[in-house]
Amino acid sequence: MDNLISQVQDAFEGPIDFEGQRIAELLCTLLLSVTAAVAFVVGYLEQDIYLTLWIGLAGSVMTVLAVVPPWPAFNQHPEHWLRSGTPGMSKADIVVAGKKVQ
Amino acid sequence: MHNTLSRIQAAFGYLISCAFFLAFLISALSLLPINPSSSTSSPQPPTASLSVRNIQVVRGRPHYYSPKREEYAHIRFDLDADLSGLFNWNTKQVFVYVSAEYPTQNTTTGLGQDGEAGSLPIANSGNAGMNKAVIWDTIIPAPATKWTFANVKERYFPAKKPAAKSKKSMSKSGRDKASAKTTDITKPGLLTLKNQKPKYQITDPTGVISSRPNATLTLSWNVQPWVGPLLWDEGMLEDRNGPGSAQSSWNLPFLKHQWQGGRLPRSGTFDFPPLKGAQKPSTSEMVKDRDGPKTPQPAEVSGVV
Repeated sequence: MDNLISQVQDAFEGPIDFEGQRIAELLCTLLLSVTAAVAFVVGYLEQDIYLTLWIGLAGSVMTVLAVVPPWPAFNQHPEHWLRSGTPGMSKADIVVAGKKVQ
Repeated sequence: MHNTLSRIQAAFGYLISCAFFLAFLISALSLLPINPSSSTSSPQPPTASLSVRNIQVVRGRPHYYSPKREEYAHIRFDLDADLSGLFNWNTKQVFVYVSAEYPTQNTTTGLGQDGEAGSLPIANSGNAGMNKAVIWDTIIPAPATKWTFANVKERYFPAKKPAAKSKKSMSKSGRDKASAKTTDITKPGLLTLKNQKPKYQITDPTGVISSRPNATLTLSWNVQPWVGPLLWDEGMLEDRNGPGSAQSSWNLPFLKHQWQGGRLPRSGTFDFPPLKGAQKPSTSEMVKDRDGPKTPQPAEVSGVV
């Protein structure tokens, strides 16, 4: 039951790992900026502000689709967390910034 | 960005920023007189000629139950205007209006029959005692392009006609009409009016408008863009109360016509005729009366912007 609930929660939350967050942030900024630039240039050259509108809308929808769902690409670098109270793991195994922590 | 909600929020936040920047860019660019379309390398300033055709002053009431009797002037006019330079990609519509201007009669009685202006200063004469009343207006919408809502819908989601009688011919003709309308790129903003009836009859606050001298017709317009500020014919730096203000000394030929406007096209000066079919003075006067509407010289073409 707990497992099921956590699955549902995962599906709603759509968590991604740290590397995925970096990629998603970059993708969002890049796609929207490029969309705005392309929309402006095409609309200006064609002298048609509707074209700007459509390109802008299409790019925005594309960006939302690319960034919002937790695509597998955003979860390629899962963090290996320490579990609390793991038997067999001494404190000496914890390495922080290249130094073993006592 | 760690979960769906924060990603939605981030995406929309940046989307709003981009949209506003785009809107700012478009509105800023449409203030500059650049037009990259191949047909016109640069927008030519609007030109127009306006002349009075026929004026009649009649008595009437403001509305049916009003006990007040006023004089109303019907001014017929000719207009020949080329406002096509006002249209660019950021133009939604252009509002054009013709207004009559005539000096205030500085009489306290409002009799309005003595021709010369008295020495009494009128309190509300902000603009050297000129009255201005719109007699005709129109909205010129920007021409439809390939990518308007209607055309995109027509192209990608054509309306499914119910399978009924003569469906083929119906839809065919409908689509043909639509496509003809959109591909037929006529030059917008060309106005040619001959002996145009006024939309609005004008009167004076005093109720007397007959025989008022030194009136002119003026053509004015404003451009309503999709994004950005409303552009007036006087230009953005020009004082709306007329030239001669401090700001009108700005001279930026680069920003001409969007920013500084130009001389408004005016008709020649005319006088309002005496009241039509009123008191019967003498036969010679009556003849003059009947001739009255024709007296304003019709071809006083002036005022090229």
